[in-house]
Amino acid sequence: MEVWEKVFVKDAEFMESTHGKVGCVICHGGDSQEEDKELSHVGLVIDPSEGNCNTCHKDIAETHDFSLHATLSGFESALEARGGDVSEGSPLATAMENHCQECHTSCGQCHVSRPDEVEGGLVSGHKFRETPSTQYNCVACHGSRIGAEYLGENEGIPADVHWTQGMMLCTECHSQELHGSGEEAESRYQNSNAARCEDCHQDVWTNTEGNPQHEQHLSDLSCQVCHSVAYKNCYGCHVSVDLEGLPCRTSEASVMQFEIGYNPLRSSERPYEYVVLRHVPTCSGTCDYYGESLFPNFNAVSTWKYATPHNIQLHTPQNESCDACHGNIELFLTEEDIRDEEREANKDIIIKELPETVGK
Amino acid sequence: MKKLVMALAVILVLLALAAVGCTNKGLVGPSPEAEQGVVSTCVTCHTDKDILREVASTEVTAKSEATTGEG
Repeated sequence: MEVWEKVFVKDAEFMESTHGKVGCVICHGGDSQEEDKELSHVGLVIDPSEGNCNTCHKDIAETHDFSLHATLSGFESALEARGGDVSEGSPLATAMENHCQECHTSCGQCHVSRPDEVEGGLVSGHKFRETPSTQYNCVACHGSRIGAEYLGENEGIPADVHWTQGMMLCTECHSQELHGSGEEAESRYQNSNAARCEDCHQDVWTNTEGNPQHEQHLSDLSCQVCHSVAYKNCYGCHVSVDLEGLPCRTSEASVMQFEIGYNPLRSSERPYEYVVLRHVPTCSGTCDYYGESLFPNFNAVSTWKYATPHNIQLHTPQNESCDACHGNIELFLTEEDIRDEEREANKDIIIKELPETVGK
Repeated sequence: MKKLVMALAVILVLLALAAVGCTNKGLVGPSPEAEQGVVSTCVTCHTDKDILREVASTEVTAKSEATTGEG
């Protein structure tokens, strides 16, 4: 977007809306009577967000305070779990400030403009969209893995059936979840409002008649084990600051893989023994620019994570028959798939023994 | 008589409160400028693409060109 376009209130109807009638300065500050551009923008608040929104949307704002979009606590807890010191003034705190904070999402960056991460800009004039745009908001940040999978942008991999058959937007599954649950969470899988397949597909659980695969595996396999296909895995991310003082990062080329492993988040809500796992970009040297050995307990956390790839298909290579999966080493995360330096970190989720073939 | 007047006064106050409600109408109602018919320079400029084009600053990118790979 051009610079002017980002701040162009093109929809005159906005001025007649509830938010439009409030006037600009109540949320954005500045001086609405000053004609000089520089003077009128003194004290300008570009992204007003929570402090203003909670005047009317108190319940949502209070819940959102705990959401991962607001707290980014997933980053901090992951660093701490690896023995990292994230206390104020520490090298990792600086790294987080430089590289993690850009993922913070304000109210406006979902409901009014594009996120800062993609350099902002009003989405529909200044219209407040109750439902964020899949294209301009959700995928703007969650694009390289989830967005590409869902929309079928990975070569040779079909788009998600919910997109090809239903043109379903992100918010049709992910609704209240995006404002959190009102409780502290360190991962999206701890969010009690998280989308679940059974929210729509209850019949799969209540009626398995005529479907021996569901009858056999509903409780021990996550849905994605049978219904997703190869997805993107990232490796070797290194963060630093460039010669101009700007935060930057490098990573290895991503790899399309499909790997079934043991469930690292096994719980009553997610009781499956087997799930699909995705490799996260993190490595032991990710933050080496900021200091040596900043993750003294790197192996405490796996680098292959519980995953829910967004490329769901009814028919997949592994669900063609029992033995398309049973005994098929290509589908399972084994020691040979793990880099030497990461074997200890992933020892609990590597498949030691493949499910035996059944001759069907 | 005095009690009756007091009671009426209380009822009137309660009725007034009920009519106004406990909302933040003062914050979410029309802006003072709009109510007074004063033209906001914010609106004047930000709804006119020609003005915006004319006065737009050159954006200084804060993204490093050293970044490579997928995020």
